[in-house]
Amino acid sequence: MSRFAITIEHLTKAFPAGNSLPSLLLAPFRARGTEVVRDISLEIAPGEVFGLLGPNGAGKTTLVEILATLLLPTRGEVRVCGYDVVRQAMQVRKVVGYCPATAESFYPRLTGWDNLQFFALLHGLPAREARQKITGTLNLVGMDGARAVPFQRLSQGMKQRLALVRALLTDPPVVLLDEPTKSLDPLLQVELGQFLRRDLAGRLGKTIVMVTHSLAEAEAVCHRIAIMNQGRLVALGTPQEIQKRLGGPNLAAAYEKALRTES
Amino acid sequence: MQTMWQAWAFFKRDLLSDLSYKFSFFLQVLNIFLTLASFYFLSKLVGDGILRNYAPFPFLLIGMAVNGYMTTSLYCFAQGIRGNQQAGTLKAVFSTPISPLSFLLYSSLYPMVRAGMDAALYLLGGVLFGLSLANVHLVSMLVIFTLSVVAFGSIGILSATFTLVFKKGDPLLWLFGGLSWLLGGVFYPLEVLPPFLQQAAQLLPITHALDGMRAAVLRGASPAEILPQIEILALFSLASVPLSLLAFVKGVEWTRVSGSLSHL
Repeated sequence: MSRFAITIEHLTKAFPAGNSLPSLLLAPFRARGTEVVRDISLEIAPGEVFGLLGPNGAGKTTLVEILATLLLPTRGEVRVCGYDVVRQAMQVRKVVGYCPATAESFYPRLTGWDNLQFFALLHGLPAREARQKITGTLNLVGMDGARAVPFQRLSQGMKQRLALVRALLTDPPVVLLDEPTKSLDPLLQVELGQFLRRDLAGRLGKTIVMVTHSLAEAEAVCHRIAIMNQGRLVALGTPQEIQKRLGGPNLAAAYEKALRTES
Repeated sequence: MQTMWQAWAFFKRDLLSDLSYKFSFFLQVLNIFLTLASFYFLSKLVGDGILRNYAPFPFLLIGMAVNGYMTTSLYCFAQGIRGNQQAGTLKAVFSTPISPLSFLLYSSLYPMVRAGMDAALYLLGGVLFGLSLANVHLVSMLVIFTLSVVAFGSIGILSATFTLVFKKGDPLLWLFGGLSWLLGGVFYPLEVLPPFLQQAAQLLPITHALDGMRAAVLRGASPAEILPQIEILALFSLASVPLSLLAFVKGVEWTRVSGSLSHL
């Protein structure tokens, strides 16, 4: 058993060039398109908040979706809690809570409660346990007001937080968050950041991988960050280490330098 | 146990969504009765006994009922995929420990129950218009119903695969549904078709489903009497179900390779 919650070795992901019928019939699983993640290796420790930063198209979401077993790697090996994301996808899904980039990932006419119950039951929780977990997690995230409201009537911020509640429903050891604060007001962003670092990682020992575009958030919340550009890992370490290594007055300057050096 | 909770989750989700459109629910029931009334009066134009020795109204009624659950079996799988694509929920669902085949099967539970209820409504509505159910052979009816749902469903699963991979409505359903409507004998007996079309009709499961269902409901035919229809539907299912399930699993795998799971 690895001492890391997540290990990634020489991961490469390429998407096929087209989705046309001839290309599917002639070469259904041959990837000939662009490589969006290129030869990435890293480890993430239990209880660590790990930030993924980089410009649009850098490969951050692709990396998170591979960890969530939604995408298959083209090359390399990825393990979550010791489970291989290709050969043991079902086990991986049991230990991972996933919050996608778009909050519109619920059934619009169902209430927050009914939506959460649906996903809790998909995880195999018996109805009574599901009810307890939903109540507990809604309270934990301060979302009790969303339980009786149809999803389509919730504000963007509420929708975003409901997705976080769903990711935490089964009390998973690993939580994958794709831009979890993007629709939140600044105050809520800070509160959520504190909640992730202090409560989820610090108190409950969860491993958190979060994609973010906010350098300030990454600096405040994450133990370590990885900066990606064009599918490659261009910097890895604590915010302080990266700043020290690349130079510059702050993380923003170091970030800019990392991207410019690479391109 | 986990399987039961997952199945219940899908059933409850679809039931709640359906109930949230209360007026639409009522209109669908009303539509069945209006259709029945239309066919009842239309059948008055046709002489008794010329539709394969069945009275015109019961002949049409069984045609409508079977066509109704065939349509549901064909469309419900693709609609399940399309609905999740549009709601943006596919990624969230596939990040839970549910297998693609379970997802497919459970997505069809509620529509199938609704289709069965609609078929029952057709029969009960028919009784209001004078249909006699005194001869119904319940076992034969259930055997034909189950086998035909499985046979139509296998085409529906192929269609769902098409929707998953190519995202748009697929020509398979259009072709299969259209041919079944034209050649299956829903509204008229096959004998009115040219001989080559009658032969082509034998390749369609609805032809045999209708033959078997009319015999079971209107003549009280036993399973032994409708054995040819049962055999054909069973053979069709045996050949098409594994093929369609394999295609669907490969389709899901393709979305994990191409990253197209959430594409519209």
